[in-house]
Amino acid sequence: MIDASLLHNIPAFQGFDDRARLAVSAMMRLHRVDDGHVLIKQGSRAGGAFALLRGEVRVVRDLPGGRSVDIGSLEEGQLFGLLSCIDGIPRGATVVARGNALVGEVPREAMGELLQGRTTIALRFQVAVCRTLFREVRATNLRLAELAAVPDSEMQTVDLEPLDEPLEDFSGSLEPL
Amino acid sequence: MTSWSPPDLGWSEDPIIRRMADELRSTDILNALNAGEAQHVATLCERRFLRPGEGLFTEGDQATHLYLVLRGRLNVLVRSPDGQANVVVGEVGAHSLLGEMAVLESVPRSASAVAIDSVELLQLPGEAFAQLVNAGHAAAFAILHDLQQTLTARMRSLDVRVDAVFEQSEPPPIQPTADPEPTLWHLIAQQS
Repeated sequence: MIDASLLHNIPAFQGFDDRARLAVSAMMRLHRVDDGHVLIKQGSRAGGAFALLRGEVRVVRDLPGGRSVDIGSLEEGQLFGLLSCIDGIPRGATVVARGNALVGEVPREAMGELLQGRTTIALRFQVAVCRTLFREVRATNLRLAELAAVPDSEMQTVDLEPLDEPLEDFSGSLEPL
Repeated sequence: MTSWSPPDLGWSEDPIIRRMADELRSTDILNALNAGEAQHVATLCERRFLRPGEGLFTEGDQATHLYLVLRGRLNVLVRSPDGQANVVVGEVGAHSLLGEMAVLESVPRSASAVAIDSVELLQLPGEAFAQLVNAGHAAAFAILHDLQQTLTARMRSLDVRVDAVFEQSEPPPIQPTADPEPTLWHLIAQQS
């Protein structure tokens, strides 16, 4: 169990009330790690999902050609290690502490309970997971677009017809209440 | 004598709603819903038809609905980096959800969707989905579960593409994106 107040700064948990934070924190283990500590090893199925509470970690991928590349750093408040807990496939990257870091881990068994659960807490957690994954997909898509990863020769293009009707905009109703 | 009325659990005598509920339950995503749950969702949905080549939404639009495709296929396209063409990045077929990501985050559409053939779909307003989540409705669990699987598979696929880019060059590291503006998630949270 970790101190529930540590979860206040996790953006993905912004919809959590005190009860939800307490419930999730009760499932978490706290890890204080030093520079270079490997939290996740690419190819492994070990471990759960993590929240970076303090410090910084970097993400390294071993490429099929044998080269390793540093593909970025995660900042405080980010969740990581979710994919393997959802699909059971081995980890896609290695995550290493850069300097001292404080990390909360939701063990894999607890992840299963939260991802499959039908409680209010589980629902909140599932929303947080979708939100995190959504942002990862969007960020990676943007990055790939910047890198022009799709060669012109492989592009299949289609002309768009204009929409018949303008789409309704309800964004004004989504301001915080 | 007063006739008995069904409790307000989404149970409906309306044949249109009942048909729509059956269609919802015929999909892999929502097949675990009971009749009342499906009929409740059906009352929130609208049926929509698209001709081949007709657009459902356009990249950059404000997201208002998520969609469940009943019949037909749609192309998912993004504008090319030079803005001169729309590049097909995926295809969505029957019994798939579409457009849910932008609705959930209340951000502009990151892609366009255009019917390949005649398409029939059900559209659910984003606010209605927020209500389902706030109520802990079975449909919310089902949609979130499908979304988890979809996003996870998409990230795995993107990892492969990122690998390919890195194999060819030495690009700068991927930077995290800024936190978006207030979103539907806030609405969900505030109503809890």
